[in-house]
Amino acid sequence: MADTATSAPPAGWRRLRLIVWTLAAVAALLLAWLVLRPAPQPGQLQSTPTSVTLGGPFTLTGADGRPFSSAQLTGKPYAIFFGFTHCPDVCPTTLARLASLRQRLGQGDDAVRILFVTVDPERDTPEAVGKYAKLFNTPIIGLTGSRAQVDQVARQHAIYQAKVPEAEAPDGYTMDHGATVLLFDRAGKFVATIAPEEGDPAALDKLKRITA
Amino acid sequence: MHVTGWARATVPGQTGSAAYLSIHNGQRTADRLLAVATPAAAKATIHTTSTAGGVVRMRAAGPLPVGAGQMVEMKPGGMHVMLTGLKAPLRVGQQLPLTLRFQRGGLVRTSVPISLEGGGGGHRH
Repeated sequence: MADTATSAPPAGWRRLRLIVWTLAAVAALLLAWLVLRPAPQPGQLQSTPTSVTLGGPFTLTGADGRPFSSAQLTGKPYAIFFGFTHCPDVCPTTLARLASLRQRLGQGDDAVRILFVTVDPERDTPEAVGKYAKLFNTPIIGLTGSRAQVDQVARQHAIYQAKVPEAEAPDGYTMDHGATVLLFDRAGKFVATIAPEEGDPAALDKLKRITA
Repeated sequence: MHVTGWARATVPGQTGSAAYLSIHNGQRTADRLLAVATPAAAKATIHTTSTAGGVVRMRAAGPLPVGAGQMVEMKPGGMHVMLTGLKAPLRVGQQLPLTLRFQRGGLVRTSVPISLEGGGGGHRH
C-alpha cells in the first residue's frame, strides 16, 4: 500500500497537493505585492524616478542636418528650452531672456550654451530651427529630430508637449509645451530650472551656479 | 483710442511673429477690439498665452474688451496679436503698419516699431 502511495498518489492526495501549492503561490504573490508595491506618496514631495535622472544622453539633429549628440556638450554648462518656431510669443520671449541673462552674466557667449529643442519636428526642419536660433544675435543651438527622438528627449527632461487643434494658427494647430528652462552643469548634471514666471535675479543666480 | 506698442523682429524664413499693443480708451463708453489687420501678414489674430504648472498654452482670444477710460496692455507671455503668413521678415528699426477695428470706435490706423525685446517705443513693461 505504502509503495503505491509514493509512486502514484491517489486522486484525493493529488488534488490536496494542488490546492496547497495554489495557496502557497497566492500567498507568495500577495507577499510580493505587499513588499514591492509603491509606497503611498505624500503629495509630490518624493522625487519620482524621472526627476532623479533628468537629462541624460540623447541624439538629435543640428541645424546643419547632422546628428547632434549630447556628448558634444560635455565640459560646458548648458540651458535647454523646448518650443517651436511657429510659437510667436513665449518661445522668442524665453530665448531672448536667456540671451540677455547670459550677457548679464558677463562671462561671454561660451560660458553657457543655450539649446532650443523643437517639440514640432513635423514642421521644424533643421534649416528652420537653425534660422530661428539666429534671431537672437547670439549663439543658440537649434535642434530637431524625428518625432520619436524629440519625444524621448522631452521625456528625459520631464517636458510636457501636446499638439492642439487651433483654427487661427498656421496649419490649424499649435503646441502646448512645458516652458521651463533646465540648467545643467559642465558635467552634464541637472542643477536647477528657470520657470517662466521667475524673476531675473533668481534666474541669474542659477546661471552663476552652473558656471561656477 | 490711443494705440502704441511694438512687434517682434523675425529672421528670413520665419513666417510668424507677435505684436504687443497698449490700447487706451479715452472715451466715456466701453469698446471692444474686434480685429487687427496688417499688410505685412496674411493674418493677425488676438491671442493669449497662459502658463499653468510650467506649461504654456496659446489660444485665440477674440474680441478684446477695453473699458471706458481703461488701458489694456499686451505683454510677452500673455495677450498678443499673433501674426501669421508674414510676407517679409520684420526688421529691427522698421515699422509695422496696423489697422485695428473697434466695435464702436471703428477703424484705427497706426504703426508700431519692430524690435527684438520691446523697449524701442518706451513701452517695455
